[in-house]
Amino acid sequence: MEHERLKKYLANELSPEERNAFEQEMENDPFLQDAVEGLEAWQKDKQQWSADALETKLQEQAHRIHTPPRGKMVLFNFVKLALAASIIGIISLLTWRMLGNKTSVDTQELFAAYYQPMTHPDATVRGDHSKNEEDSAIQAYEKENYFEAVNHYRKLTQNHPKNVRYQLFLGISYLSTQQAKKAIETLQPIITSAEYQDDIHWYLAMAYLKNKEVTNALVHFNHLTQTDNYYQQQAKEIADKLDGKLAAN
Amino acid sequence: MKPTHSTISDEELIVRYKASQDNSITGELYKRYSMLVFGLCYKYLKEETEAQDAVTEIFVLVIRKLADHEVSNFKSWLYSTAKNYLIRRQKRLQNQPEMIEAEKISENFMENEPDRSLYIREQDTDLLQQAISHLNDEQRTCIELFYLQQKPYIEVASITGYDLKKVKSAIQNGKRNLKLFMEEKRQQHGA
Repeated sequence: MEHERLKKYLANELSPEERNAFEQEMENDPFLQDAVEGLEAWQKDKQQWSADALETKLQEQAHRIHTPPRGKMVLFNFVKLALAASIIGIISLLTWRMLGNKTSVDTQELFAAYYQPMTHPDATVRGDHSKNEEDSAIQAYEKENYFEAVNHYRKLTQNHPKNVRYQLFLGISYLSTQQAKKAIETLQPIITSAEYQDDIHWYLAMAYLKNKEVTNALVHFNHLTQTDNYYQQQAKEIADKLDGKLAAN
Repeated sequence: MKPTHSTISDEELIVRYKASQDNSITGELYKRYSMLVFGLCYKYLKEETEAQDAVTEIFVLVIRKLADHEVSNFKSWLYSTAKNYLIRRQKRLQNQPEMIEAEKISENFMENEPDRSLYIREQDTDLLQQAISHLNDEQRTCIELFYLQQKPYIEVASITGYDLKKVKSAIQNGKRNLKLFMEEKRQQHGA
């Protein structure tokens, strides 16, 4: 289905062959081409991509669409759906609150308050084979074009699976495009690495925070509070807030 | 049994809608195309809320028009309806005197019309090879990587060192030049 492929294309989830096939279609379909251009601009402006969030937004406003035959406003069935969804939403919210679990809102607020992509260190040691790819990755990363950075770092990690720095910056690039799960999957396997140890703990903790996995996030924030490091103070502040929240529950 | 629309073609949905005025059918069309329309609107309006509002207004318009229009290809029709809406909206916002932007949009749309020149006959393969060899280095490299080696834009950019914008533009311009070259040769040979 075109809609699903469009979402996968924008989320960088198509293989190179599938991407090319989709792009060749775009070359012959001006509507698709314009739409992708617009959606990519939207992604860039928002610095995040959530096809589901956009779909939800569009569906939420579907109730505004109506046909007025003979002057009568006929509302879409979406109104009924929207009402049902609202009721379910309200019930869920009440249940959530009755259970006293308010972490979902707070984790996102905390993430927004503390998250910042790491400054890229100067990469001076590069193999000839990966020079162009790494340059492109760093350039995209420094320009805060994290979707493009993800593409480059994915290739680099495929070619150099043991390179911790590539994994770390792939993880941060994922997180900077709001793909917390992928960031966790990328950072968790390198957690025992001696190189960039504090950075990995910090960004993995932030990824868990973004993904609302408070207990897992606390493991890594607490780890950072135990030693003298760049993140110690911030980790302590977040850990205290999360501890307080868990204690309140 | 509850009817489902998800597997039915756009055109069949329209036939059914005209017969039943069932709003769930237009709901299905909205579901299929609202994201594409949003992308189109965002491209030209560059503002999220405005683009969202435009999506709503375009679908209202489309549903109204469906009643008295014969639509053989819904997607193309939706695209031209949306484009016309955006041009009119631009004119309205600028209160008519500033036509430049609307014209600019119109020009962009014209440029983006599907280029059918690359749908070639088999006997044109040699001519195509000849045409490709006449492109400048930039366009030839991008066209070969994209169409012949089937690399996605990002890889073409990575291989050539050009940025994405340059790659897309080289492909677009390369296609246009291929078309011109082939048309010219066909005329010369009375083909």
